Amino acid sequence: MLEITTLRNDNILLIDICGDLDASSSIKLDKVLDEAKNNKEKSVLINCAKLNYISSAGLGVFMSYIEDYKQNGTYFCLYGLSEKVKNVFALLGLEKLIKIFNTEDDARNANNVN
Amino acid sequence: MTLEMQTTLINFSVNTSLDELEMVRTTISEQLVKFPLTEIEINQIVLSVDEICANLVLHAEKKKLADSIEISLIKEENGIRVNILDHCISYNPITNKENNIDSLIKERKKGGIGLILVNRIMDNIEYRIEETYNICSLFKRMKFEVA
Repeated sequence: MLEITTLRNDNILLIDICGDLDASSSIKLDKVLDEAKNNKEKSVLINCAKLNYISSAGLGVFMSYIEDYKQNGTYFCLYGLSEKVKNVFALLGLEKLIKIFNTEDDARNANNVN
Repeated sequence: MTLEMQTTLINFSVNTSLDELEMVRTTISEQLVKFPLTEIEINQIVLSVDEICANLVLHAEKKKLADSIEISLIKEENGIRVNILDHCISYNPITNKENNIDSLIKERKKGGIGLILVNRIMDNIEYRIEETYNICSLFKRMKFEVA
């Protein structure tokens, strides 16, 4: 089961991911990130505090938007990951390519997003 | 390795459907939590099984094959083994060469990293094609405390 909720807060798009992000459910995240790309969002902050599990399908969705967000000048980051989820990102070295923070405050402060 | 050193923890079958993956993960996790493994170690084994099953399902769907996958979780003296058996057209995941992460990102690819994860997690991966089935055997070295 995966639930994704989005909340707009001025120039920030907050995305909440809850549940398991796998080969069956990752299409839901893909749709949300694709919409954010098309809208050329200024900042996309993703709350992963309730993300219980991620497989390569979920990682692949995040990876596939790195270049587009960079081109659009979108500030894009994840925060609140559990140790086991963080470990899956680390297995591929993705923590060096995607900004990952402990808290929402850290994520906002890193780019003066308010 | 003698048979006395192996204990089959569970043996179960699932349909070749992506909807079954959550059940596969839950079933494997429920067995592994009985051992003194960290949450990260358990998640890594679960992830590896999930990746192999997802590959089989996607391959089976592409070939329009409806079949089942049988999974055995075995505790060996020095680690955990998972055997994933299918009756589909043989599909050897190990023959795929490892993709380059930077290239995948530049090409905006969403796939091609599952088997990299499995290779980085597992200590040994074998794939055999038998007469009526194919078997992918994953092994992760583990230290179990002596009871």
